[in-house]
Amino acid sequence: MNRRDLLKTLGALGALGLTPGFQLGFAGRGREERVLVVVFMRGGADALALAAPHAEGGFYYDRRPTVAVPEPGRPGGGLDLDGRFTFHPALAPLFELYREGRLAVVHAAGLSVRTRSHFDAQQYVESGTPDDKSSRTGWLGRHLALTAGADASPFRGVGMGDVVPASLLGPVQPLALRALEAFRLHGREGEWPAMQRSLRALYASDPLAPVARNVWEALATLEGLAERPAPAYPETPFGQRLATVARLIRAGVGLEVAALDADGWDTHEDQGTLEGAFAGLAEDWARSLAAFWNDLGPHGRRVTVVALSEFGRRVEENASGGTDHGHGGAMWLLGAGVRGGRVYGRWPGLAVAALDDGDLAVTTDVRDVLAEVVVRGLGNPRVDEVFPGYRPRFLGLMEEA
Amino acid sequence: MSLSQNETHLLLRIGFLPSGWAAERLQALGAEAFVEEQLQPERIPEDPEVARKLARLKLLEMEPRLLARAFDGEGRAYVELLRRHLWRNGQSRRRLEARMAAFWTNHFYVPAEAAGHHLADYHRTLERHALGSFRDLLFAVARHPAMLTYLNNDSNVAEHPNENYARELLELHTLGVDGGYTEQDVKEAARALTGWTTHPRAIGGFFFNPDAHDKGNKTILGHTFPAGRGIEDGLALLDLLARHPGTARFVATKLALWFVSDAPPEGLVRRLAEVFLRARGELRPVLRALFSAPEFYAARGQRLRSPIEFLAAATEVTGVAFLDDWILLDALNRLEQPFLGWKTPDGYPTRARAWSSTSGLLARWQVALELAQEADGDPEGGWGLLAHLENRDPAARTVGEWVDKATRQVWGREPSGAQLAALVDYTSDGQGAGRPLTPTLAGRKRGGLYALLLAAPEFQWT
Repeated sequence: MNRRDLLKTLGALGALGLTPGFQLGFAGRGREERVLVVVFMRGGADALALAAPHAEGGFYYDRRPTVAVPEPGRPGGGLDLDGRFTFHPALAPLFELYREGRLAVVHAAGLSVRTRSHFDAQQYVESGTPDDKSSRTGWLGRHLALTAGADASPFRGVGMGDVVPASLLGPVQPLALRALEAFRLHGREGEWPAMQRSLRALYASDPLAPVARNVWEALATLEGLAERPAPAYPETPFGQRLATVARLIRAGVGLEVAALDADGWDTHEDQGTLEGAFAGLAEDWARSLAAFWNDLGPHGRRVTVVALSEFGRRVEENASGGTDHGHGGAMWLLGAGVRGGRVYGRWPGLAVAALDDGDLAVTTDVRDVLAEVVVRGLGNPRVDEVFPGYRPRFLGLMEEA
Repeated sequence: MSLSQNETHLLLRIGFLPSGWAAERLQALGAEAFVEEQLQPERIPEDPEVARKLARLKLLEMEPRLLARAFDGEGRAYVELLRRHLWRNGQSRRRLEARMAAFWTNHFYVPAEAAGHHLADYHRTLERHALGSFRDLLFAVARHPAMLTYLNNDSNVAEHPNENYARELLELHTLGVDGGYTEQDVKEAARALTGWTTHPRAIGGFFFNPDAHDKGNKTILGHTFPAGRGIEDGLALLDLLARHPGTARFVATKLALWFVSDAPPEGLVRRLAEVFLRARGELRPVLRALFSAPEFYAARGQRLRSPIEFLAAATEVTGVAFLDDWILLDALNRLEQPFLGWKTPDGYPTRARAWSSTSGLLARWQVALELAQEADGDPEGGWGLLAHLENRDPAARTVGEWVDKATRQVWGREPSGAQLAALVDYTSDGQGAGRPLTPTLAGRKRGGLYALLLAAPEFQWT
């Protein structure tokens, strides 16, 4: 058996983006797919400081002398969502989207297992199989595999950042993209045109030829995109990654799922409230998302954003002015199909008896929310394969497609 | 000196380039004796430069407990481990041992992030047995804190069994997913392993806690485990699995995937499994059988180098040494194989299909261009590399001769007509193979030629 036969027998050329018809070119096709953008807030974002439960009174404020968001109306006070919760002031750019009904919050959401390890919790969220390490694929990867058609663009699943998020693992090869400027190929000045000709010729009859063709096409597509001016995003990794996602969406390259990270939420020390590390994180996150939404303009009609973290943080702050790993957290949904302007989920409260080993209890399984997005937002009914062994309970936070 | 096709193939699959020390040694000894020598690495005098570099990696010798207390001990040991990996797989004369160590660390996979300060010790443990016996490997892994904590056996107790380790023990370490075990076997195996945990003061970090052990009787794979036993349950389970024909078959399949091709012939796998069983899991006889099998030599060009194999080979071709940790780590991130960064316990995939992404191929081309051009002294390269490509470059009078020699040296095979034409066209500025190779022309073309050789499909497939 030669190499060509070998790849043929894999029988997954379509899923690999190797479909011959693809050479016709995907750029400028003006695709109008629904797009899901998943933001992983790595490190365990402190949901109790992003959407602070100010109505808990002493249960909240007494345990957090230095890291609690002041009540609405007080100096430095937050933005009242519904009389129970208040946005951190740094989330002001998102507050308007909440009031317009585009942004929804799910509170006390998290994993059904009580791990406090970043690594385990992130793996469980990304595989979509809590407490089970036997999954070899991610929930987004399974979704992409289940919805793979013959006409596969290499941009169907894009992982933005230094490494591709594990949620995209699966038989459909995600495209790893750090930045448009990084998706380039350059040889030495003067020599490069001739080298390029030679490199094309070297791959002409290899089994990898379709992949090579995708590379050249993607290079051409992305080079065209990079020349347009970037709108006003924060000059941070997260902001710039979102800016790139928006460009891909506008260009209609066939993007269906983008996964990216907003890093740095592991605030064990000197978390601060209105100033300090946490406020900076929250501001970057909120401003980037708001800029993304504004930038999308009419394309926002087909774009849904989900942001989540591996867990929330402890109710009680620690001796270093920070918070340690907790359990229940928050999920954030923005955009197409989202019934926003509400805080979803049963709120368990912060009374001692309501806590789960000192932490906010989890009353909504992350899979309930993600499954609803998959079914109602992306129109993929095979949720039992995206989240195997789980029967999700929808909260009604997405409109029926 | 010219190697036969089979000799070239043997070298490439063991992890050597088809030139240099290994090529000379193979020609001097013949294939059988060469493999035999590789199977006894302690008898091979190591390249002095490599030995010196390896000896400098002090953190890898540290006790995990001390490493945990050293400033950024975990992070620095991780980088040392990566450097060690690249030197051993890209420069060492004991290449087969390195390749087998890489095989086992991927088979009994623990992500760097999950292993924490146990990582280096875990790898050292596996390396010790890399060419030894599967049984020793299995027992060592089952008692190592890196695995016990990663797959949560440290919280596997009688009242709340945790099945993560037991499941992967059957599915990934021994029988394989089609190995004929049932869900019930997984549950019972987990019960047999209750109480196998860690303790910071225990030797090696392993501790059996009899109070957490489920003392009831168990039935696993049709074998009865009588009630009332303690650690013997787990030991008997591991022994049963090490001797099981399903394990022999699974390990044989994985070795064939590692060394032969993505679809290894059934006859070969069966023979290797038989050798494995007969030799009671001793690995040398299995490898001897593998490297003398006709199916092995028939699989030329059918295996795609993984990104880290590509990087190791490319650094060997160009002779580059990374001066900067960050650039090295970043190169592997871009190639989509961050060192020990795979998130699930099955380890990085080995099949070509897994390494055929658009962005992955682009990254290989980028790295090929960057390495070769910087190795050729391009100040714009920005890689912070030390390299002397000029010293490795074969002497030639014409472009045709130059391309031919360089191709054999890097790819190990004669290029096809079209490939040769593509390379000659670039190198001769379209003037053809007969163009005399002047020092000026060589100076202008060397970086580009080597970049193309590294970026070409012939360098991705071995």
